Amino acid sequence: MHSDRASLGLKIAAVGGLLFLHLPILLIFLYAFTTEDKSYQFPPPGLTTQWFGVAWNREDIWPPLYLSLWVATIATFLAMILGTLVSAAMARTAFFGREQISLLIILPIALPGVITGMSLRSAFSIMDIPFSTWTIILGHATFCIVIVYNNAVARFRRLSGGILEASADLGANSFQTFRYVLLPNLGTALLAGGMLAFALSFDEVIVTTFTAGQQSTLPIWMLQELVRPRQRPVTNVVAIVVFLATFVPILIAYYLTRGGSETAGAGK
Amino acid sequence: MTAAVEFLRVSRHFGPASAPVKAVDGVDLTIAEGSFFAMLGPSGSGKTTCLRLISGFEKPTSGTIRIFGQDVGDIPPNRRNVNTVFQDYALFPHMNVRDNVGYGLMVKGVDRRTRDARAEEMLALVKLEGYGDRKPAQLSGGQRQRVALARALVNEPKVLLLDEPLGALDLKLREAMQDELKALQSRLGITFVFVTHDQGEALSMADSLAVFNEGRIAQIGTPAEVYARPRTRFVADFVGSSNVLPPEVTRAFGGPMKWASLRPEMLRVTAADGVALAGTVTGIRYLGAGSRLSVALNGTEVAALLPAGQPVPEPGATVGLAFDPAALHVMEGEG
Ligand SMILES: Nc1ncnc2c1ncn2[C@@H]1O[C@H](COP(=O)(O)OP(=O)(O)OP(=O)(O)O)[C@@H](O)[C@H]1O
Ligand SMILES: [Mg+2]
Repeated sequence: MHSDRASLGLKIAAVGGLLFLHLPILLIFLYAFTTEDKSYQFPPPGLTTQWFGVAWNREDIWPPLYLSLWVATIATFLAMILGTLVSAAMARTAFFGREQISLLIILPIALPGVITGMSLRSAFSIMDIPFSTWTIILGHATFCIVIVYNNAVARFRRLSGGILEASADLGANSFQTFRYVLLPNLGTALLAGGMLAFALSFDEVIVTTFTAGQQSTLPIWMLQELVRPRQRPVTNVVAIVVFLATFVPILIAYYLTRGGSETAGAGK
Repeated sequence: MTAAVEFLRVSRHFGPASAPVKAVDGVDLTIAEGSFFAMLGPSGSGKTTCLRLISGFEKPTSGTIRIFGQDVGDIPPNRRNVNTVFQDYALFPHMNVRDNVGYGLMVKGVDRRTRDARAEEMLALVKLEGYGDRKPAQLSGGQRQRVALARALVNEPKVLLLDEPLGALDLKLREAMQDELKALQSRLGITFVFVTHDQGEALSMADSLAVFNEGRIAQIGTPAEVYARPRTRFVADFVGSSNVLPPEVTRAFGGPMKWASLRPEMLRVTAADGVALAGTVTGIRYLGAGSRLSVALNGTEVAALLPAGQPVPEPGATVGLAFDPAALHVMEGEG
């Protein structure tokens, strides 16, 4: 007889697969508490919370952290504005070459990061633009826009043109229509897109390597730190910070878009 | 009487000028203030486009539109004193019913107390008291339709446009809403412009109606006029599925050599002997309140309505047809 329940073998395989994916993350957390700071020895000889204090007092952590936060914030901000505008144009009017442009917008996320990084680097050098925080932001904005765009364009499609016309019909000017009808319906999608973009930017390494010049963002600082056998658990403490800074927004984004699809689907 | 809406040779063409889609083509019409005006026509005949020209979401390619005498060529939708009940209702999904209804007042800057009170009044008008806190998704189709109506009426428009507002409702609800809409219109005295492709709905509700065909008005008049004296073959067939008789048949039926319309209910089915018109029954359709016979004679098919209670002939039987000569309406228009 056919059963809807998974067989024992399949269950073991699924649990095994999940453990394989997620155990290393737990190990990273574990080594933030180890007493041994030269090599990652298993099991840890002892547990301590001293590394959090050490990390807090290490001067070289703060500039990369600030830089990463700043870059992610500005790149996300740019992406939210540009991504929303592009998605509005794409969703509401048909014009020649629309599909092609849509593909071009999505390309930065489909292309390998090395390609984006290389092309940006050569473009900057051709145009004589010195590497700075702004070149990093530009690099990040290319893929952040895609995230915001994808979120917003999906929501735009679900919003029938009808409610925007209904708003104008009832006497609202375009600003009022934007404020009272478009934004509330688009808001969660934009917020979710922004959160994901922030998370992506915050831990981006490849494009950053090509566009950063002498500065280090937090992930790049971690990479450099790992090759030095000195206070290794500090890196793990920073890893926890990175984990929280990226995972929490992604989780929020997930719940935001899930709620959005529920309310949109309920009208059908 | 003033005209609420006037179209002066209005056209709206889409697409390239070389091969335009003539959605609305040279339409002239006058809608009297306070009347219930129906636009009737098959799918794609330009009814929605006409409404959108009145509401301002489309601009005429040529011609002039006046609302209460004012040329509205340069007036955007949000500054026309016209409101619309959309075909799919277009309620704001994120607002509750009260805020939906009060929206028109909110954008005018009316304070919340006043607009909530007014929204409740409008909800009472459409018999939806107590539904203010619900979201549109929690309403039935008929209830959404009423909310859309209340929302459109809250600004006290001078003209209310309704685009097939009853299309999504089942027959029973549809008939109830027809009566309610008609009653509401005569109570409020607002000009209603009502789009439908259901001829029964148009005939029963309208003070006057325009029959659309391929972007043009085939006929405009009161329901009784349009029904009794269709101007063209298209109108005769579309409104009430009349018998459209070619000139030779009209002649055989005792009329002039012209196209004519003869309503099926005007034909009496008699015994075959001793009458001028006799034919063979080719089909019978049972309608409940009677039967519709198809009779082949003089090379055409003629439909006759046989009231319930009369003996129904067998297919293939020969029957006679009789009618009052005044019922034979000769059409002057082409097409
Ligand atoms: N924006 C547009 N672009 C191109 N063609 C259009 C546009 N809007 C309408 N048309 C065309 O104009 C014609 C009339 O359309 P309209 O929507 O007015 O018909 P309708 O009488 O309302 O039909 P229905 O009963 O199906 O709603 C159709 O052939 C339609 O394809
Ligand atoms: Mg239509």
